Amino acid sequence: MGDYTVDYATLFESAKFWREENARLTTASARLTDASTTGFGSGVSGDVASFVSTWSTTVSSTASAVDEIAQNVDDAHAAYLSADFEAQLAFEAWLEDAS
Amino acid sequence: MSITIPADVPIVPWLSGSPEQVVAFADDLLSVSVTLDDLDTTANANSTYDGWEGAAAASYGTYVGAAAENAQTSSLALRAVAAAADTYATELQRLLDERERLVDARTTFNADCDSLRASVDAAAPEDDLSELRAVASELATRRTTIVDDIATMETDTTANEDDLRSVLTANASVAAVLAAPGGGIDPADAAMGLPGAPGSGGSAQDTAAWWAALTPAQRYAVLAAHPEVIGSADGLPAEVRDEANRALLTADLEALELLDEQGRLPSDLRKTLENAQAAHEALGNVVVDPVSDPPVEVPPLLHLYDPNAFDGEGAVAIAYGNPDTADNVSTIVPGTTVKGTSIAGDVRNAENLYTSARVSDPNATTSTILWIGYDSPEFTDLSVASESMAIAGGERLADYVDGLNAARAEGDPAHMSVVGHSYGSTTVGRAATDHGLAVDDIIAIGSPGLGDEAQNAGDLGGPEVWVGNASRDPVARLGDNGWVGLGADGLGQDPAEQGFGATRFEAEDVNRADESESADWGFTGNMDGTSFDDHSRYFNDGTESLHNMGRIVAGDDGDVGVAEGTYDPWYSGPVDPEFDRDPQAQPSIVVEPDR
Repeated sequence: MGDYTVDYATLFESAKFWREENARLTTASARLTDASTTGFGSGVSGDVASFVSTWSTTVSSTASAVDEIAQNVDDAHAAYLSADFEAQLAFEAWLEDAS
Repeated sequence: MSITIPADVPIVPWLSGSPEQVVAFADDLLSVSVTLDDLDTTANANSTYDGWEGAAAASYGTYVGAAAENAQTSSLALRAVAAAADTYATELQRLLDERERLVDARTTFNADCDSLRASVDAAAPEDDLSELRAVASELATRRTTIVDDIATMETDTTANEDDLRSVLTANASVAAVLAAPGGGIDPADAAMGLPGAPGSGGSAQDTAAWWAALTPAQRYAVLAAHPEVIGSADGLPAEVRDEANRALLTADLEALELLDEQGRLPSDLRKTLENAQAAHEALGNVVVDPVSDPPVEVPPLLHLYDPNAFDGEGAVAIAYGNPDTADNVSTIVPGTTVKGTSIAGDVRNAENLYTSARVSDPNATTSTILWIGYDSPEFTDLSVASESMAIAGGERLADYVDGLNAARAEGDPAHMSVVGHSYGSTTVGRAATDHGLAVDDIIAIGSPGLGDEAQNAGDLGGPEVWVGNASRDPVARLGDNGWVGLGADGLGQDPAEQGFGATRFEAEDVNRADESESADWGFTGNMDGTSFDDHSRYFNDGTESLHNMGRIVAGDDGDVGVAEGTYDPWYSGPVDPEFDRDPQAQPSIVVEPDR
């Protein structure tokens, strides 16, 4: 196991950033996949459809990679938040025990 | 002797395709390209963080680098095909028009042949046939031309498809893009490094010259790679800014609404989303030109869009009519409490002013702009009585107006005006006194003053100064009248006062406040007979104010209803002769579409 020291504030900013990027990539990928090629003439519409199919796969792959980052960073952020909250509750409970 | 009648022209080959749908396809690709380009840039900027070091940071950077690896290449490929699709659509439209022309020509030709056949059949042996032979000869020539044109159409169709296909092939995969000469290099980078590029510190004229010198490919590249820069760049063509800003708006709406649906929208992006939604709603406002026959809709241009400006308050501008080409161009500068979300409702002011100017001079083209381009104070904020925001906003406004002038063709200046409402008039005043506002007319309405530097109209640098302060508007009473006013705490002299030197125009409304009302809001001075509603009537349909502003914007100065200015006798407080004049209802001019 390496030295995976994570700064909490940085993690928070990172989670926010990737959440937004993930949303932008998800919608962009869907837009490309759904792009209509029906406006092209019959002589070239097949080529256009093939182009869209190829790049949809590539962009979808990029979107998936970003989604993975966003999920992991977001999950980590939530876990830290939860851990902190549980620690706070425990601390408050401990304080209450004294009174 | 026989007559040779040409054979009928065969049917014109069918041509499939829809340019509108191809343009929509290109827009989709460009939008995706913009997002990917953004990812490449921002992911690299976010692959490391200050204060985050060690193995964790390195691992994170590895993931980020891998995710963004193909983003730039994808962006370039999609951009290239989007541009090619646009070109294809333009040519397809030409070819469809040509086919339609040829179909008509064929129909007429074949009918003329039928007619000639009938004439020949009806001719008697002893008749002189020379006239019919001439007709046959002319038809033969026509047939050759039509058949040649059909062949050219088919050749051009094939060439159009071949051109598009070659771009598709060159961008068929990541490997294909990288293998091409200069592959993977964004031409936008070099273009943005040229002198005069937006953000390089040049003037609006420099930016206009920079744009004019770019190749079509460079223009497309910078539009796709830097829409946030292009959309806000003063001096660039309005239609280019509109395209860039709409791409940003679409991307914002789709992504942020998705986050909102997922319940994951960060609080600081809430305002961004609301600003985007307001801009989208405003763009849906349908404006019908009041004098065109048949009626035509006036498409809006998104001339400025920065939903994160001013700590999330937002900046946005929408134009009705193209300010680059219109004969008359007017920019409305709103006042307090205006922010990005205000555009949805306030854009109607630009609509009404557009309508009034067009009615005033139907032979002149018009563009009116609702400009929310500065950080304005809250109405309840003490900063209302401070000029600091007007000073900052005035600089932005002067730059914006410089951009409007610079974007026009050389030797084709517009009749340019600005309309400052309320605190917006103070902003206009500071733009004029501090920077020189390059306009022909300044119009101040509901004005509490044009700033401390404007002691009289002459201090505004030369534009003709018009003031439409309604007598029942309490804000219009805040300007200094000698001893009466807010003094150092105010926003300058009362511009409606006779001694100020502006031309006051009639700006009353038949629905104005009753004399018994009083807008008591804590400021000193006589507020009898005022209502805050009268601070918000200036653009209303049927008011003297809208009627007269339209005439000023259209340059019909002689038809403006001039009002007597306020004065401040030694024996009493300020006197407004307009207070006792009966307002005149003006004709309703705004065309209401089915909203």
